[in-house]
Amino acid sequence: MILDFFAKSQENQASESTNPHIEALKVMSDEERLQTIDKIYELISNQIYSTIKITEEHITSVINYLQHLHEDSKELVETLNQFMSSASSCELEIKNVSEENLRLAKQLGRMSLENMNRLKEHQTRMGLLANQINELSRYISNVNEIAEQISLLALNAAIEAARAGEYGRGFEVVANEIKKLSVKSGKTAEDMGKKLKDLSKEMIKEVNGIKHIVDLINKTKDFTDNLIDKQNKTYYRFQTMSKDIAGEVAKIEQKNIVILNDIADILGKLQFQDVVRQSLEAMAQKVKRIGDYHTYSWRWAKDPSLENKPEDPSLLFDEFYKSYVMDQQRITHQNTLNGTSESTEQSSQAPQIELF
Amino acid sequence: MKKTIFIIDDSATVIMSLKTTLEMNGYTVESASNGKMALDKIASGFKPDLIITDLNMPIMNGLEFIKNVRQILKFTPILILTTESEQSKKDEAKKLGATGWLVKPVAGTDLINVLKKVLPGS
Repeated sequence: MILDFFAKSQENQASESTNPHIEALKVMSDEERLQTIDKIYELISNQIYSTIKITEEHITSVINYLQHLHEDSKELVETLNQFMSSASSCELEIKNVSEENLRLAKQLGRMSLENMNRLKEHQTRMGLLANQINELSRYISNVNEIAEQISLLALNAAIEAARAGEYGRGFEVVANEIKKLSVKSGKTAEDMGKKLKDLSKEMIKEVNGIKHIVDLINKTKDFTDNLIDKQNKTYYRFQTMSKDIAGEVAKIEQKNIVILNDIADILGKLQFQDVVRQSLEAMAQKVKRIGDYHTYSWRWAKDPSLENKPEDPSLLFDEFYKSYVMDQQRITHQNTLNGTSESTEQSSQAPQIELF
Repeated sequence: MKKTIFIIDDSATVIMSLKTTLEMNGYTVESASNGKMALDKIASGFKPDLIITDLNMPIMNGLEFIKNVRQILKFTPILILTTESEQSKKDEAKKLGATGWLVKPVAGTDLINVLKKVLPGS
């Protein structure tokens, strides 16, 4: 087959004498032509190796990017976990403070109630005392009446003593003294009445003052109850918010796991570069093999007496077929020889993963 | 404790991609670029929990490596990760003591699932 090609090539050279490249070839020696063709095979081979290197460099770069992506993702999760840990500590602290505040507020409430009850008792007792003072006022009035009657009695006694003349002189002295006593006791009763009245007014003031304090304590209790309610609501809101954040963080972590799995899958798929590398390396080796065969055949065609006849070129097909490592290479080989179209379905027949 | 995986492959990109995937999943990774280098490391006392080896490598190929390493590490799981798909090679690998056969490219999550199956406690 190749020998036919050489013969035809020589015929073509005769008919295409106007082509400048052909003209250039004509001035070359046969050895120079052979070296040029060898150089072409070398060029193709080097291009293939260069392509392998380029894919390797690019895949390395992609892997580096994926590594960074993974590190960033990991850092994000660590930051979120730290945030969650801080939020949990904060929640615990707020819970403790809330419970302490609640305890104090309840204690304050109890104390207020106790104080209020005591003050009410005082208020009642003060009311009773005020009533008793009022009762005393009535007794004072009685004393006044008695004093007035005594005074009247003393006056009558004085009149009777005057009628008695000399005999009634001693009695008159007694009647005068009794009158003085009645004036004095009337004055004392009047003073006592005033004092008791003042005392009663003061006690009413005190009772009103206690009432005012009871009102204040009541307001304080309402304020404390309100505070407890607000404290409970705030803690509940914070607890709910904390749970919501934890839920969102868990969702982010789940998504991050999906991302990490995707990165892992992409990293696995990048092994295709090794598949391509091995295919291209095999192609480069075959190009070199064809180049060697070409050179040998050329030399033999030039002077059959110098070299043994080259092997049948169809044997190269067998040689190539034996060197394949991938199903796809074998399929492409068979399809090419059979003249059938390429199909990738057959290559996926073998299991990708098999445990023995 | 982290499990140690030993990767043997002549492709720098395969080692990089596997190392990243495995480290991401909590494994410690050591590597060698051919069977001889790997065998020397194991002979000097290195005991990985699992080995992932390529088949077609320079100096010493994967099958030769398995044959030699089985004299030192009798029970360590050995997975072959290769482009090779010839049944005779697969049979030979099985006979020499390989644990499983994976054809490149293998998705990272599939690889991790395999590791969890063959490496108890990982």
